[in-house]
Amino acid sequence: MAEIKIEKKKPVWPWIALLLVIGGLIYYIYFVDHETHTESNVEIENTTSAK
Amino acid sequence: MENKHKNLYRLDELSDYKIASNYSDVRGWKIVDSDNQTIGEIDNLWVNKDMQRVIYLDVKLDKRLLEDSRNEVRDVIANDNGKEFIYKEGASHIIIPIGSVSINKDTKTVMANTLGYDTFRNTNRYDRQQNFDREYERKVMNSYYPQNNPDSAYYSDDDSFYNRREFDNK
Repeated sequence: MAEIKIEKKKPVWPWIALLLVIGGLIYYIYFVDHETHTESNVEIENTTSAK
Repeated sequence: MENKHKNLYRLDELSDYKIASNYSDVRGWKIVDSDNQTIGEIDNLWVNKDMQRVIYLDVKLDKRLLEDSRNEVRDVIANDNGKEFIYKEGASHIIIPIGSVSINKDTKTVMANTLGYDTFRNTNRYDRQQNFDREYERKVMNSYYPQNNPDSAYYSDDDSFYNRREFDNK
């Protein structure tokens, strides 16, 4: 004779949150400009333009 | 009829529950009687959350069976034997205990191996727009298994009513 069991669905939101975090990390690593601008670079530009 | 025993729910009412893995979702499948005649279609599943399983199949009866029942009503009225009729126009669903059927996954058919066409024709029906209560469940069990002697659980209003072989695969 038949038996059919039921179970609670697993929540989806933790996976969505994980995907958002991973997406944010990828965006930060590959698309954000990480170059730093220092005072020495500015001085070199000024001396060369003075010629 | 309101379902005062609110441990039974239609599965489609429970958005956070689903059929467990490795079990068949028989909604939409046809159901046949002991002579392989089509009785109707599985419209929904009545489940018990505490027991985590299906208790009843909700069957939308086949038009032929409904028409046969109506013909019987007309005959009885014509013969004026005073029979009390147990269903209203529009009541086209019945419930079947899960342990009373077997499932064929290949043909997507549910088989009520021990219940015949006349049994289904004469079983109390209910209107899908309303729910049923424990009294209706007892009438249905009497219709399917008139030979069973009622025990104490039969008269209970809690889940012990389902501790019988007609509701499980034991």
